[in-house]
This record gives sequence, C-alpha cells and structure tokens, in this order.
Amino acid sequence: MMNKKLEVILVALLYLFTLYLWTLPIQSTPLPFGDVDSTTHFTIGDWMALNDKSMFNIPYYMTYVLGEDAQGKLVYPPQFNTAEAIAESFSFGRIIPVFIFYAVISSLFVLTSYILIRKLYGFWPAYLSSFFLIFSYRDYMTYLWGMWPQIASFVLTPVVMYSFYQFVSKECKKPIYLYLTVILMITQFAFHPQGIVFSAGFLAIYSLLLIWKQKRFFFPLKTLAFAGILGVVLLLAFAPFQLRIFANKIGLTETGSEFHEKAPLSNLLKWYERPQRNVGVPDEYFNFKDVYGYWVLPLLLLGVGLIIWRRNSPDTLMIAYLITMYLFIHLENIGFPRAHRFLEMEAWLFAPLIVIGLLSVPSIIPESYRRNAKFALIAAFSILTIFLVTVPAYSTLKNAYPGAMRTTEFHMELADWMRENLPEDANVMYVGYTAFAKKKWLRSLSHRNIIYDNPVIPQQHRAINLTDHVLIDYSEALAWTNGDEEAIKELQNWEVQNLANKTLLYEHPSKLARIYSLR
Amino acid sequence: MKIGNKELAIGISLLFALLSSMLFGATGVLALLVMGIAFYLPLYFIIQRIDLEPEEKIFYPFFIGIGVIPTLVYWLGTLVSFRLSIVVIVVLLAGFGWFMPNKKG
Repeated sequence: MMNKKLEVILVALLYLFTLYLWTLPIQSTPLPFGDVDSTTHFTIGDWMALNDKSMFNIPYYMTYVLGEDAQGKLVYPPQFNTAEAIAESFSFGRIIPVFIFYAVISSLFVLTSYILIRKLYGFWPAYLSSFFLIFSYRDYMTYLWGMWPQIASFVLTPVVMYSFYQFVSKECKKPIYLYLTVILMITQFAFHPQGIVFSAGFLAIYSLLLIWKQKRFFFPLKTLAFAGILGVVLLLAFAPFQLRIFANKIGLTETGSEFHEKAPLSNLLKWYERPQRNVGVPDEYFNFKDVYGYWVLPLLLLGVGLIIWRRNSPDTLMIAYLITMYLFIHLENIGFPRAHRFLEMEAWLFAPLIVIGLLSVPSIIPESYRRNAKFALIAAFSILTIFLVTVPAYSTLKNAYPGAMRTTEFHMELADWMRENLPEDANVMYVGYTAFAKKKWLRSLSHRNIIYDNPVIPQQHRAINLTDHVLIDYSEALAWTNGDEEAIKELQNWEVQNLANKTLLYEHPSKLARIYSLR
Repeated sequence: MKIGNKELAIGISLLFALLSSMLFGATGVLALLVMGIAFYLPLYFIIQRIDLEPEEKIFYPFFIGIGVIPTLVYWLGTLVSFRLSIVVIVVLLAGFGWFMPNKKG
C-alpha cells in the first residue's frame, strides 16, 4: 500500500509537471491566444477586473458579439468570467494571471480523473492513467482553441462521479455526498451546460445499472427530494437570468433550438464517426490513431473486456461511464447540437481502461513473477508514453500560435491606446492585414467595438454604417501578403483617398498604424 | 505521518511557488496565491468541519470553491466594488468556516 505522504508528493509532482507543460504557450510568448469564442470569454472577466465591478448589462462593444439572445444582458452564467476576474484582480498584469488560470482550470482533469480512479482501482491505475492524460491531444487542443468554460465544466465530471459513487457505496447513509454531487453539477451548469447534461446522463445510467444489479430501488426518497430542492435553489442563485438562453438552446422555447440534421443510423454501429457537417475541428480529432495511437488499442479492448466480464462495484461505474459516453457522442443521431464536444472526455474514460488492461496482463503469468512483471509493464508503458505521446504534445504546446498567428505587443499597444482614449461607444473600423482571430482579440483587449470581417477593408459587418473611427494597420502587411508591395501600395492609396482630410488621433511610433476620427 | 500536515502543505506550496516564479516571476507566484486564497481557503475551513474522508477535505474545497466563490463575489460585485466584494466574501466564508462547529454525518 502506498504511503499517503509519498502519494501526495508524487501527485503534486505530477501536477507540477502538468502545469509546466500546459503553460508552455505563454512561457516564451506572454501574449493572449485562442480561437473561436476565446476572446469573448477573456474580455468579460477582463472588463470586470479593469472596471472593478460585476458585468450585469453588457457594455456597448459587446453588443455585436453576444447577439440577440443577450438582450443587453450577460448571456453566460457569470461564474467562469468572475473567476477569471478574481484571478486578474489582485495580480500583476492583465494576461499572465488569467492565462495561468486557464492552464490550471483546463488541466484539472489530470487531478479529477486521478481522484476518481484512485478511489475505484488504487494508486497505480490512477497515477499511470493521469500521467497518460497530461498529453491528451483533444484536451490540450480544446485548451489552445480557447474553449475554457466548456473544459472547466467537463473537468468536474469525474468528481461528480466520485461523489455519487461515495454516496451509493456508503449505502446512501451519508447524504452529504449527494449534496456535493448536486453542488458540483450546478457549478458545471454555470461554466457550460454540456457538463451538467453529461453528468445527469451518467447518474441516470449508473443508477439504473445499480438498481438492476440490486433488483430494488434503494435510494432514499427524502434525500433525493432534498437534493432536488438544493439543486433548484442553487440554480436560481447561480444563474437566474441565463436559464432562458439554455432553454432556447435545447429547444424548450419558441425562439427555436440549435438542433441540426440527424446523423445516419449506421453511425450507431461505430464507436464514433466524424460528423458530415463542418464542426470546425480538424480530421485528427476524430481519428483514434492521431488521438491515442494504435499501440494502446489492444490494452483498451482488454480493459473494456475485463470490466464487462468482472462487473464488480468500480467496474459498474466504468461500464456506466462507457455507456454514457457512447450515448452522448451519438446524440448527433437526434441532431443534438455540439455532441462531438463530449469526445473531449473520452480520454478520461479510455486512459484508465487502457491501464486496467495493461495491469491485468500479469495475472496470466505465474504468481511469483507478477510483481516484477507489473513494474516492468508500468516502466514500459511510461517509456512508450514519453516517446510516442509526450513529444508531439510538448511540441504543439510550445509552438502554439507562433509569430504572426498570435496577438503581438504592437496590437496590445493599439488596444491599450483605444481603451484609454476612445469613447466607450466608439465604432472602429479595422483596415489592414492580420489573422481573423487577432481582429477579435483587438476588440477584446481594447473594450471597443471593432468593425472587421475577412477582407482587408470590411464589407459586411453589421455595424459598418456606424463607423466613426478607422484603425489602419500596416504592421503585419508584409507577412500576410508575402511581401507583395502592390497590395501594400493599394492600402496606402485607400488611406490617402479616404482618410487624408480626417482627424488623425494617433500614430504608432513605428508609423505602422494610425487611428482616425470620422466624427 | 498524516497527510495534509503543515510541513507537507508548505513544502508543496513552495514547490508550486518556485515553479511559477521560475516561469513567470512574481506575477506567476501572485496569480497562484490569489487563486489559492480566493478559491480554496474559504471552503477549506468550512469543509474541515464536515464529516468527510481526510483526502476529500483536501480536494473538495477547490472544486466547490471554484463555483461558489465567483457566484457570491459576482452578486455582491453588482452592489459594491469588485475587489472589495472578493475580500468581503473570502473573509466572511473563511470566518464562517473557522467558527463553524464540527459536523458529523
């Protein structure tokens, strides 16, 4: 049996290494990164920290970001953004503290998975699978894309499972575990609704399996009722104004849902298949070889076979986890929006199963060799993990958003100037060459409405007719045009023709960007 | 030796402080400290009073705190300064936990 103190030290070292690895993207380049909605997630917390107040009504510059759902109010439950703001409020700097927070929250699954698997199968399965998980492709990619609230919601799932497992394994005599389950699930809802949906599905399936095994309904109704009331009260306290938006998304209101065309039934015969419509993630995301590597497949199958054959108490939980995962990643079949996102949690299920398969191998050899065989397998698995999984993970995290793909110091300076000098209701048209996501970051960092779209000169932004300022930016023109001087000349001509008689408010010392007022 | 003892906790905290200091200087140390104090400490004091297993008293505070603390800070922050709201909530909850009686079952 592992000495408890030694175990704590080993787990601390594991997480220390995790933090080192997951903060690589900001170690060499301490500038913001992220795609999709990352800029929105960042700016809400940033606004609260810099303005020293909670965001209730959304500021003007976010009007065109959050859409009609918002109706002038904060569209997301405020917990995740408030947590960001807390991390930023008493720290030095605007970027590093918040991105450390993202790294911590996004990599917490290494610990939450450890907590669950340690309870179910002991130290080695937990430690080894958490070590494997540090380099989990889907997890670090989701983190790099900037889907932090979703990750924050998902990472709590193993602790939800742990709490409910404790509740039932103590014969439902310690209701505190059920109440903790409820609190964690409401926190999941507050971070991102997909987390609570998955947890609720798991609890239902696991409970059904337990009732089937025991052939009786053994949950105390009074405790369940109290937990239900606690859930409703917490839901109202956590996010009273956002429930309507959640209801919209799942189609419970008249404004229409996000449900899409159903996937073909043949999908049900496969573990998973890439959706036919574009879901905005690369093909590798759906490929077992790219996500894990085929070398773990036999171990995974062995692990799955073993839990189904053995079906003891921890195995029942893992079977429920497996069934839940299968059902949720097949929600595409009823047109459920963003079902592919549940795949992010797949590795947290597969890694322990792989290790369970691995550690079952010594049981087929004579008993006197088992201990040595177990440690030889642990060593071999760790070495293979380091060589086959660590290197690509390290390289991807270290080289995330390189060069012109990342917001630059130059753009940070422009954003700071706009935030400090332009009126809050300014509408600034961005004209110039840069990555699309970086235009979004300019808005998020400047706290001003930046009018942009794909072309160098915006054509279709909803607020284009409101333009009262123009930011013309040559800082990355050479990089994005591959040194095409003609293209740069065209931009200069456009500036002369359209802005020569406007008021120049700001010129960057490098003379590579200018801001004009049209008012 | 019992887990969660002061020496072990201090040692591990120092390790994390050392890593963040090497990677991000004082900014990194302060960021982790702020997160530790805001998200962990108040619930730590409360959860110590609840009848849970020793290791659960170590990990539950963060996972509960990360949802509960921002909720309370957010609502109070709509009325008073956001920073003041953080301080008030952290002090109130930590104080509540400190003086809360031990609970069994």
